[in-house]
Amino acid sequence: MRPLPRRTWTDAEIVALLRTGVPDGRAVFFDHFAPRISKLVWSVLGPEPEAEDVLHEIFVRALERIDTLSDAERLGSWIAGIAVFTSREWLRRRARWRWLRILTDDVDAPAPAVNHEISEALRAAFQVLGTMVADERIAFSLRFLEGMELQEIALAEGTSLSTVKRRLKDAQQHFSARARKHAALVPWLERQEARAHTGREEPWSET
Amino acid sequence: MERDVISALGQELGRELDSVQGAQAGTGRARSAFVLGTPSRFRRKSKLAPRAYAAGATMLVAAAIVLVAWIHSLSAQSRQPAPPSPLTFTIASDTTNANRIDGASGALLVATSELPLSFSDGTRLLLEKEARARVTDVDHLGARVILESGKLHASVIHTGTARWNVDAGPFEIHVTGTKFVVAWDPSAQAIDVTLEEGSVLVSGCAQNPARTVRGGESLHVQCATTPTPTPTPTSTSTSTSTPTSTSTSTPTSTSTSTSTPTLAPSPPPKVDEVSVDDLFSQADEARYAGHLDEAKTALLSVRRRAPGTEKSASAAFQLGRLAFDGKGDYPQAALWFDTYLHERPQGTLAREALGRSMEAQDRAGDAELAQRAARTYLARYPSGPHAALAHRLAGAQKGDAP
Repeated sequence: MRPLPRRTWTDAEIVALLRTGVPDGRAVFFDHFAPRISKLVWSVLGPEPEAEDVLHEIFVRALERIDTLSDAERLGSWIAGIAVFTSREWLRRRARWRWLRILTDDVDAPAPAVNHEISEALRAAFQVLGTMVADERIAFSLRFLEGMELQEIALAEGTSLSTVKRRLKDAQQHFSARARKHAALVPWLERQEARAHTGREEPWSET
Repeated sequence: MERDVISALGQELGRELDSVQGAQAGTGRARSAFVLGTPSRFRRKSKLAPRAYAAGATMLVAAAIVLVAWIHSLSAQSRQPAPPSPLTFTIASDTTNANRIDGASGALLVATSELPLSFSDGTRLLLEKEARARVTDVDHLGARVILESGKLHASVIHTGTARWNVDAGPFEIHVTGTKFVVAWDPSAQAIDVTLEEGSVLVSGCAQNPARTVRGGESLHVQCATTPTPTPTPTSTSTSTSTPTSTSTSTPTSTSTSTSTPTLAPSPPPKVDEVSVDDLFSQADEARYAGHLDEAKTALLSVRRRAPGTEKSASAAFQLGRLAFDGKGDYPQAALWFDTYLHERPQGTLAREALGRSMEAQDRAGDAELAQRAARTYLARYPSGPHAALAHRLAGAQKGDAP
């Protein structure tokens, strides 16, 4: 059987490939969306070793439900919604069994691919996020770490815009209160406060 | 504003997360599994719950009960896992490290000459002559060094979990891994922290909230209004076998006033009565407290008192920062940064001064000077922290030219 040509597929074409069971359809589907969905999963879960299992599950669920997708052009936002729900399920499951993890760190630190300060800050940030309820954590991660618009978040979470705003407001308050207790985040907060104070982006050093 | 800060922090962390993810996140296993139709590991775990989890939890609880009973049944020398060993350290009688003795936690160390301390994790401390310090709270992650007076050089090995603190009067320096020098003058309640590498967090007294000091930076703070007791060596400390706890370590007259502050609060000295170093300290303190005019007065006094010196040039740079960051007076800021560059064209702050001058000219609306500064900056520091701005300014001007 001739392999599918290497090209950019539209959402509608990918849906057609999956629904007709074309052998290479899965690979096309995965390659098309994996970078974005993987990034989303990382933003929500942090650098978790099980993130790749979650990613796999998202695509499996999407494949199982592809026939329920009414508008093929919305494949991207549809799978983002599945990603959010699957990630939330994982977070809640982990929260239920957190007591089984008391002998290990809550968050596996990113390997030192970046400098120590960044690694420590990310570890601290996800420790803070780990203390928040799943809905607030997801809202915070999607908005600030993933950079999604409020409307996109509402769509992905399957909730209203006002609910997203409320969760985001609560998440910011909780994050702010807890972040200051982490030494690794203090210099980052100071930098942002200095920028907010001077109203500018600045690469400056002190003497 | 608080929410804006958190938003900006989240966005910045998001960008850093992207770089980490780009370098590390793998999708190859998930892709293979999905394409080949391998059952999801996530789902396999799901199917275990709740019955399997309940069974597992029950077994775990039962095992825990058995374990607790077993531990209780054992004597003190039973097979409990040993806690991590605390660090050890040795003290040399001089910098040749010829004669070394084991250090004792809590003992007063009085340096009659330079006194090197070597810790088992590789961390090195050096007390300068006449410095007094104690090493306490030694555990497997680090220790607390109480600097009672004098100057301490520290080279702390970064292990990822290292936990070191230096206490100097009302100040606390939190260290993870870095090289720095800290000097503490209890009579003036003044601390001076100079970072060679890494960063430390300084808190206490006027540094509330904590402030980060990074490599290449110095922090001078005087805490004259919140006196603390002068450190009081006790008799036990003098009886330890440290190489220098001899005649100079005899408790002083202050040792009897263990619970009463011995320093009376005193108002900060007037500008004309203090040294140039103190003026810098005053300027720093005033700047951190938001008293910009006081900081400016102190810095101008430095320039008047020590013209042509390194400190005078540094004062010019600081005056530029005050004008830029504190007052938004960009023409004035550019003037001070240019003054620094004129006085110290190869100085340690030259790169920052040139970048700041360029930025100040840009903000002041002087496109020609900004462009000229941008070209100079790119020629000298093509990958400097202001390079992006310099490219923009140089490029914009080029494009505008007829």
